Amino acid sequence: MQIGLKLHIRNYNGGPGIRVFWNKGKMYDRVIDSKGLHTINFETEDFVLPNTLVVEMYNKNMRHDTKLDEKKNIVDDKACYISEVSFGDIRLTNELFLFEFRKNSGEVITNNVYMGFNGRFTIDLATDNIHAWYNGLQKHLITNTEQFDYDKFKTEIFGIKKTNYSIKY
Amino acid sequence: MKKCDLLILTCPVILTNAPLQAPAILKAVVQQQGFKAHTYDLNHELQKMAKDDHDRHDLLKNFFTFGTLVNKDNIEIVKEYIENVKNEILNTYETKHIALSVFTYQSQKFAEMLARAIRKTNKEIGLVLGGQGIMSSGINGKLDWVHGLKEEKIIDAFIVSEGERTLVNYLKMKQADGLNNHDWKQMTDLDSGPYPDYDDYKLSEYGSRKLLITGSRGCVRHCSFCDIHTHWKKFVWRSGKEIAKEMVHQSKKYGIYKFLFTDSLINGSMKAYRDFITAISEHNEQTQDKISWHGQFIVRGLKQMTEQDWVLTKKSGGDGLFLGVESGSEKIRNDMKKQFSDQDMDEFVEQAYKNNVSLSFGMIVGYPTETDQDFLQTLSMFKRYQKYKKIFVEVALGTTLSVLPGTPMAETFKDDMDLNNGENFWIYYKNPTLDFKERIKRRMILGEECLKMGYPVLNQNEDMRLLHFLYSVYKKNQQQVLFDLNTDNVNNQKLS
Repeated sequence: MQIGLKLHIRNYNGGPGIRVFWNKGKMYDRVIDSKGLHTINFETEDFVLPNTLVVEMYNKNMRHDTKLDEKKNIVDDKACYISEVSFGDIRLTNELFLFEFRKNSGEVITNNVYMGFNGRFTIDLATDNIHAWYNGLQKHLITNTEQFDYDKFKTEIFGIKKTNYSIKY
Repeated sequence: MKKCDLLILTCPVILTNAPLQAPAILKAVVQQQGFKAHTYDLNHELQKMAKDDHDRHDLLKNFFTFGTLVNKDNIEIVKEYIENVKNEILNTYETKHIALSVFTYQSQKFAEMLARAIRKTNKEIGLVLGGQGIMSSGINGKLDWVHGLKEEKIIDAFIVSEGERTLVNYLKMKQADGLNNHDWKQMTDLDSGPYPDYDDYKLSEYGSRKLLITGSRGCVRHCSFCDIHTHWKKFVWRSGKEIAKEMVHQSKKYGIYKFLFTDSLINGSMKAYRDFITAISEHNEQTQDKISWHGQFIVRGLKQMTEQDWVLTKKSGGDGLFLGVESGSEKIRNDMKKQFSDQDMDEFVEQAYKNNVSLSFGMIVGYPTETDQDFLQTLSMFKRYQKYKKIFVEVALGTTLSVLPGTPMAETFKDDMDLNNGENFWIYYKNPTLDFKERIKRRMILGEECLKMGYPVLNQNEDMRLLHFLYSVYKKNQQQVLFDLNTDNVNNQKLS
C-alpha cells in the first residue's frame, strides 16, 4: 500500500521534528527545517489492517520556539499542519478532523490538524477493510458536519450569476 | 429456561419501526412441522437503547453497520454488548439450533460477532445464518463471508432464500435445496403456509403499530435499473382472498389493523388485487376496527384499474400507495421499461384524488438518456398534478441516479458508460452533458420547484447534504466507495 502525507511546516528556530510510525515500527523520522508544503510518500507491503498510523511532532520548546510580537500575537512558529493523509486511493482531508491530537502533557485536542505542541496525531484504522472504514468515516462526517450551506453549494453548481434561474415548463 | 428446537434471532442493524416478518414466518412454519421455536428481535432491543443511552446506541449502531469506530478503544463497549446479548440468550433459551436472520449486509458484523461468541461458549448448538444479507455486493452476490464462517466452523449452515422450506428440511435432515449454496428453488405456492407468528414479540413497543404482509414475490415489470428479477425469477402471488384472510386473522389476534405490504407491487395481478380489495371492503363495512394498508404499487390506467377498483381500494383501507414514477417524460419511462403512458398516469392520479387515496412518488433524477426536454417534462408533470397535491404525502427525489457495477443498469449501458470512480459519478457518452454536476443541478431545480408548488419533498436537506459531500469527493477526483450499497441519505438506507 502506498501511504502519503502532505504536511505544511512552519520552521521557526529550525523546524519541527516529525516522526511517522505505525504498529510495526517507524517509517520516517527527521527534523524538517524548510518552510512550506512537504509531501512524504511510503510504499509498504506490510501495512496490515487493523493498524494505527501516528504522526508525531517533537523538538519544540514551548518557551523559545513560538515567536510573538509585542502584543503577544504569534508571528511565527515551529509547527506542522497536516493537510492530507492517503492510504492507497483513499485520501483523507476534511476527515482528518475526526481524529485526536494528544499533547505530550496528555491533553487531548479534537477537531484539530494543526500540531503546535509536541504530541501525537493518531489515525486508528480499526478495521480489516480500508474501504469499509473510509465509507464509515464519510458517513460520520456528513452526518455530523454542520457547515453545509445550501446557497453556497448552489452557487458552486450554478455559477455565481445563475443561481436565480428562470425556467419555463 | 425456555426449551425449544430453534431460536430465531433478528440481527441488527435494520432501520425499521415494525417487527420483521421473516422470523415470525419461520417460527410458524417450523412449528407447523412439529418443532418448538421462539423468536427474539435483537434489532428492536438495540433500538430501544436509543431512548436511554443515545451515545452508546449510536456507537454500537455505527460499528455494526459500517464496522467503524472513530476511537479504537471503544471496541470494548461493543465486545461487552455482544457478551451480554450472548449471555442473555444462553441463559434464557435452551435450544438445539439458533438461526440468525441477516436482513441486509449491514447485519453481518453483528451476526458474526454474536455467532463467534455463542460458538466459543457452546459448541453443541447448531448455528444457521440466513437471509439476503448474507451475500455481499447485491442480489445474487458473493457468499464468501458465510463460506468463510462455515469453513471456520463458526456456523453450521447458511440459507440464502426461501427459508420456509430449506430451514425445515435442514432441521429434519440436515440437507436441503438451497442449503449452503445459491441453488435455492423459488416457491410457487405462497398460499399454503401458516401466518406469521408474533407471539414472542412485544408488539406494543414498536412505534409503527403495523404488521408486514406479503402478497407476492417478484415483479411483473423488468425496469432497467432494478435487479429484483435476478433474485425472484418468476412473479408469484397469493390469492386475494388468502391475503384478506390473513389480514383479518392477524388484526383480530394482535389488535393491529394497519398493514404494510412487502411486495414490489401490490397490484401485479389485478385478479388477486380485486379479490383482495373486495374481501377487505366487505370486512370493513361490518366492523369498527377497520383495516388499512399501504405499500408499493404500479401505475395502471383506467382500462386496467377501473373506477370500481378505485372505490374498493379506498373502502378496503388502501391509503399510501408508493409509486415508482421515476420521470415525467414518457420517453424516459419507456427507456426504463416502466410501461405506463402519460395518460395512464393522469388517470391514476385523478382517480386517487377522487377517492382520497394518498400517494407517494419516487423519482429518479438524471437517467442516462434524460435530456433537458425530458427534465422539463418532469417539472411539467408536477405542475399538472399541483391541483391534486393534497393527496401527496411524500415526493422522494433521491440523490440522482447511481449505477452500481454488476447491476443490470451497468450491464445495459456498459458499452457507452464510464463509472468514473463512483456509483454517482458516471458519464454516459451518448449524453455527455449530463455529468454529475448537471444531475445535481437538475435535482436542485426539481427540489426547489416541487417545494414552491407545495409538494412534501422527502429528505430534501439530507439529500442535498449528501450530494454536497459527494460533489466534494467528485471534485477531488477521489473514489466514491462502491462498497456502500446504501447512501440515499445520511440517516437511512437505500437498496441500490
